Formats: sequence, C-alpha cells, structure tokens
Amino acid sequence: MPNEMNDWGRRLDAGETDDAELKLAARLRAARPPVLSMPSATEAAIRARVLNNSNAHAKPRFGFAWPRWNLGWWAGTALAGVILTLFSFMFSVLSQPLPASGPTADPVKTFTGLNATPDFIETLQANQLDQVRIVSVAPSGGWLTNQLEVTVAYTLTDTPTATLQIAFVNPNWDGEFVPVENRMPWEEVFSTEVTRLGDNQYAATIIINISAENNGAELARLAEENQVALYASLTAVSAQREFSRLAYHIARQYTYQLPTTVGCTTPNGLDRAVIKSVSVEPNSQLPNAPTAFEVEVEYQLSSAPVASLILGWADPAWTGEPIGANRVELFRYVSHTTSLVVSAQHTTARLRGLIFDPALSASVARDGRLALWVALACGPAGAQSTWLYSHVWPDHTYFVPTPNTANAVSIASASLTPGATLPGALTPINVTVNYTLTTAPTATLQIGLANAEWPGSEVDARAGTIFAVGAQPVVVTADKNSVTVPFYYEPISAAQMFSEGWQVNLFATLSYQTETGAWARLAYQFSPEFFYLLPISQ
Amino acid sequence: MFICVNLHPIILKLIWLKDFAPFRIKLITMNDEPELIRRAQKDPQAFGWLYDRYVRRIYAFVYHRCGDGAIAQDVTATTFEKALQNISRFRWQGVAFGAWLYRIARNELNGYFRRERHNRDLDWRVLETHVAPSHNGKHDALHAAFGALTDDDRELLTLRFFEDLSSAEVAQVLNTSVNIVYVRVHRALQRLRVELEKLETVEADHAK
Repeated sequence: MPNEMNDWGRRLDAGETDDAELKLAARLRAARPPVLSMPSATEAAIRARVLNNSNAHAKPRFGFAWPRWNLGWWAGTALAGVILTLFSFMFSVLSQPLPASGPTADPVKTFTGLNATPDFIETLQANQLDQVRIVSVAPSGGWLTNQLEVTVAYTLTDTPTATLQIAFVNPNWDGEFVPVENRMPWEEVFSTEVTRLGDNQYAATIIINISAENNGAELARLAEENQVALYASLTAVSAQREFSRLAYHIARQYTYQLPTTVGCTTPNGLDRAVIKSVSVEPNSQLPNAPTAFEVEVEYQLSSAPVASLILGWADPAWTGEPIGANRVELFRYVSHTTSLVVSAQHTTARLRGLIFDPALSASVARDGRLALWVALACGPAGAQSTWLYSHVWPDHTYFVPTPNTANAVSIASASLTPGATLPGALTPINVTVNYTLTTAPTATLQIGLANAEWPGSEVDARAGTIFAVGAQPVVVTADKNSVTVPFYYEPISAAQMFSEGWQVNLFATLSYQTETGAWARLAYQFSPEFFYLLPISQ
Repeated sequence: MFICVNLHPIILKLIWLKDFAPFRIKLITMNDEPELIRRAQKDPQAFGWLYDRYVRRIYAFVYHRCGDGAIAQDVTATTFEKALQNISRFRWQGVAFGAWLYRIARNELNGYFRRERHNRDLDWRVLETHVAPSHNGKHDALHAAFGALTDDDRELLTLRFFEDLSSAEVAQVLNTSVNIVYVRVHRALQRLRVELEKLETVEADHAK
C-alpha cells in the first residue's frame, strides 16, 4: 500500500490524469485563478513594516557596529554574553531549593539527562489512549514566580515507563515539532523538569524551581506577547535513544506573564535594598578560585509590583551613580552580576549565585578591592530597563587575591605610521601586539580602531558617539607573548562609524569567555601612541 | 564588473560592496534562491528579493483564509518580520523558501485566531474568490463540494493546488513527510469526489 501510494503521488506530481482522483486534481488546478491582487496601500504598509524591521537588524541592537570582516558573530556573542550577564536576568531567578511543601503525592524521581527539546523521531506512533493533562498549577497564573507546583494526570497503556516533561512554551504553539534545523523560537519548548514515571502511577506533582540556569532570555524568546504557557508531555525512549512523544498537553489556561514586562512608572524614590548578610566576612580576602556566595538582601519595592534585584562586584570607589544616564558606567565598574525577581509583597530575598572569579575581576578591582553593588530594576531587559535603585556598599568590601603577574596587552608596532591620515582604499595594517596571559591558557585578542570615548568594552552604541571597527579576533596562548594581527582597514565601514577628521586610536583587548558564555576582559590598551586621522572629503 | 539579472536594487548595491576587493563576474538569476537566502542570512538588506518574490502569494493565502484585508496585512507583515528575524536559522533542504513562509503564515494565522478567540469557522473563501468563474456551472459544483470538506482537507488542497506548492513543499508547510502528503491528498480528493458526485446527482435530478 505505501508503495502504491508513492506511485500515485508521483503520478500526481507529474500531472497525470489516469484515475478519478487525478482527474479531480487536474480540475482543481484548472480552477486556480490568478493570485489575488494586493492593494498598493497594503503592500506599502507591509513593506514599510518589514523594512523598519530590516533596518533594526541592519544596525545591531547592541551597537558595536563591526565592519563586514566577519566580525558580527564575535561581537554579537561577546555582547550577548556581557549584556546577558548584566541585564538579562531581569527575569532570571536564583535557584532556591526550598523544601518541597504542599501536595507531593506520588513523589517521583527527577533526572537531568534530558533538559533540551529532543529531536523527536516518529518511529513509534503514539497510542491514542496515552494521555497527559495538567490538572492544577499553583500559583495558577499571573506573574511567573520562582517556583511552581504542577500536578499532572496521565495514562500509559502500552509503554510501562515514560518520561514526563514539564516545560514552558509559546501559548500559540500548536504542539507540533518541526525539524530542529528549521525550528522557530516559538516552536521550541523551554524545559524545566524531566521526570521518570514509574509503573502504576496515574498522577504526579512536580515542583519547578525556575533557577538562574533557566535563562530568562530564553523564555522571553519563545514567549508570545511576553506570556508563556505550561506544557506537559509523555515521552518514551527506545533502547536506541530515539524519543517518541506519546502524548502532550499545552495548558493554555495556565499562562504566565514574564516579569520582564512589568511596566515601570517613574521611580518614586522609595525603592531601597540593603545587604543584610554575606557568606564571607567583610574586609576578608576573596578565595583564589571561582566561588559562589550567598547574599541576603532586605528590600523595599514601591515603584513596581515586580522587579529584578541585582547584585554584583563593583569598584569600591564607584558610588553606583549614574546608571541611567550612561550605561557605560556599569561595564566599567561592575562585574559578575546575578539577579532574582522580587515582588513588592515581600521584603527579603536570598541570592545564592553571586560568583567571584579571580581570573576575571581585575578589570573592576582597580585598587585590589571589590565592594558589593545592589540594584533594583524593572521593565524589559536591556537598554529599556528602568533603574529604581543602585548603590555600592563600602562596608561590604573585600580584597582580591593578586596573581603573580597580571594579564597585560600592549600594541608594539603597526605597519601604518602613527599620526597618518587613513587611506581612502582598502588597506591592510599589520599590528604587532605584546601580551602577557597569566590567568587562562588561551584568550581572544581583538584589535581595532576606536575613538577616544570608547571605553574598551562592548557597549550599546546608542549610549553615545562611541565607535570602534575591529579586526578578526584571534586566539592567543599563554606560552607566547607576541602576535602580529592583520587588520584590514576598510574606509566604507570606517565612514559609517566615524565622522570626518576624527582621531582614532588603535586598541587591543584580551578577553576570556567563561563557561556561561559571558565574555570578560582580561586586559585592554587604548594606545595613545598609535593614533590616526580620518580623511576630510574635499 | 558585475552582471546582475532580475536583481533587487538593494542586492545590486550589496554585491558591489561585498565583492569589492576580489573583482569577479557574478551572474545571479531568479533560480539562485539558496544563494539569495545565504546573502539574506548575512545581511538583512538582501531579504528584499525574497520579500518581493513571495509577499503577494503569502498575502493571498492569508487573505483567503481569514477574509479580512486588515488581518491579512498584519499577518503577512508579521510573517515576513519573523522570517527576517529567524532567517539565520533557515537551512536550505531543497524545498523552496516559500514553503517556510507558508508555514510561518499558517502558524501566525492559527495563533491569531486563538488569540482573538475567533469562534467562527474559518471562512475558507478559497473557492468563493479562488475558483475562476465558469459558464457551465461545473466550478460552482466544485465550489460547493469543496466547501463541504473539513478545514484540514481544504487547507491541504489549497496549498497543493491553489497555492501551487509541490508535494514536498506542502510537506514542509505541514511539517510532515511527502508520503503522508500523498496519502492525505488522495483521501481528500476521494472525499471531494464523493461530495461532488452527490451534488451532480442532485443537479441531474433537478434538470429532469
């Protein structure tokens, strides 16, 4: 039968008409009219909308408009890492393994082997009798909090055991999986818990802790109008590790608003956050290995119902202001932030994920010390967030262990004479960079041209006239101390970045990508010696 | 030196800039969809050609499903916005880019109806406006028979015969295999034939 149908399908595709259905197919084709004409006003409106979108893409949201020398991905990744580290957790929540309370009938063992959307292979047809249904959730909607209790009822018929997956999905998703390579963000599930179901069970209650690992940016990506719905699925796994979804349920009655969408009015000045305790003594030396600290904060949230409480390590000399006026300050003075979504209904919060990494703290620990910075912010993540409160606490200051030799980078020579006017044609400039790498076996070296306002970190170009064009990043190793990097100066890209007659300087950054994907700057030089002038058109 | 045929002006400019250093002769034709997708993945400006090629078809498809110009405009624009946002994820698999757009449009439309709590049945005005007028009444019967089919059957036959997608493209839109498309089309045509025979019998009785 399948072969017959394949043969029939090929005849259909070939336009043959030798049976009743094929004749009818030909009739339908003949009845096909010309494509509906689209009113010109409609076309103009659609074009304008898509064009605006296109322009938004043409100018990367996170500034740093690298030229076309295949730098976009690097800058994007670096920026995404930094921005995520600092802002994305408008939603992300520290994992707080609170004791599982409430109804926990049929306690089930969870395992972490499956935490991504599997690429389902439909080798096994789902038995129509297998069912799963989300029957209750607490809380049952509203703002997405850091813990949900989900109870599902299920029926397994032919399969003795299966996997229960609870996830967040786009409320409009139809539940159909598509090939992973063409999957759209809203066709993905954001897996939170995967649980092995045993025999003879008909219901399970799962406590979902939405932790910092459950990245808020991922949830925002698949959300529809900042809402997500709960999804439950039963999956059988064959001996060949092929997944077969037996049943699923999208509980659209349980939709949750992501806290990133909380609207902010003008801060009323009553928002506060005070550090109550830290799992390390003030004025002590921080450990010489990456360590996570626990911090208890007492806060008062008045301007918004929900906000992100953000903690980070900051330069003790920084007051914490101004943040809103110039976001560059954050990158200059703060590192290693973490956050927790807090509600105005409560006044205390405990964050357990504040990480100190001695290899990456040098850029902000200017005098060998770090202080705790605490902030409250609301609204969408990123540049539009509203800062409600920001303060550096000098009474929570710590000493940073000093490495034997600090990371360093300096520009030694360039094939274009310093002080020259940059050429009007594509010109290779070979730049030799000396470096010392002590805190990591490898790092990424980036050179380029920047104007004097550029602080040497990845910043939002919209924050001001801060521009840089760069070369292809190269990986350098700690066992060497010099490298020559070709930088193809391209006048068209430079003209987009800089104004005529500007002075630009060579810079070099030595960066390191952490396990979380975030980029941290190990060393940086904005060379006053190697400066050039942009030409002035006649 | 560049030779560009049937090329969107924006792409013309883009090719000039991108291929500035190594001078080369570049001939791009309408059939170079994979190449244009690759370009659009690198630079959103190059999306223009794909947009021009498909916007009318997608608009017509959406309009015939919802019967509302404003909704069709919104859904079409959203479809192309999402395609542009996600084009980097698209992988050429030998199926036209349009199939991917149809799938996005279909999802968008389904989402729209869910959001708006549209309880009314989708109009599927496909044949109302789609079937070319005829003087012998045959298309009217086809129209009526088509209207008696289920939504799924109408969607399938519309994609395959009115939107003129290949079976492989329909499979891509519906996220299924080509073999299943063959089976479903065959069954839908069988049901259409049954409905048509019923109507033609009634008409024959009336004629007597």
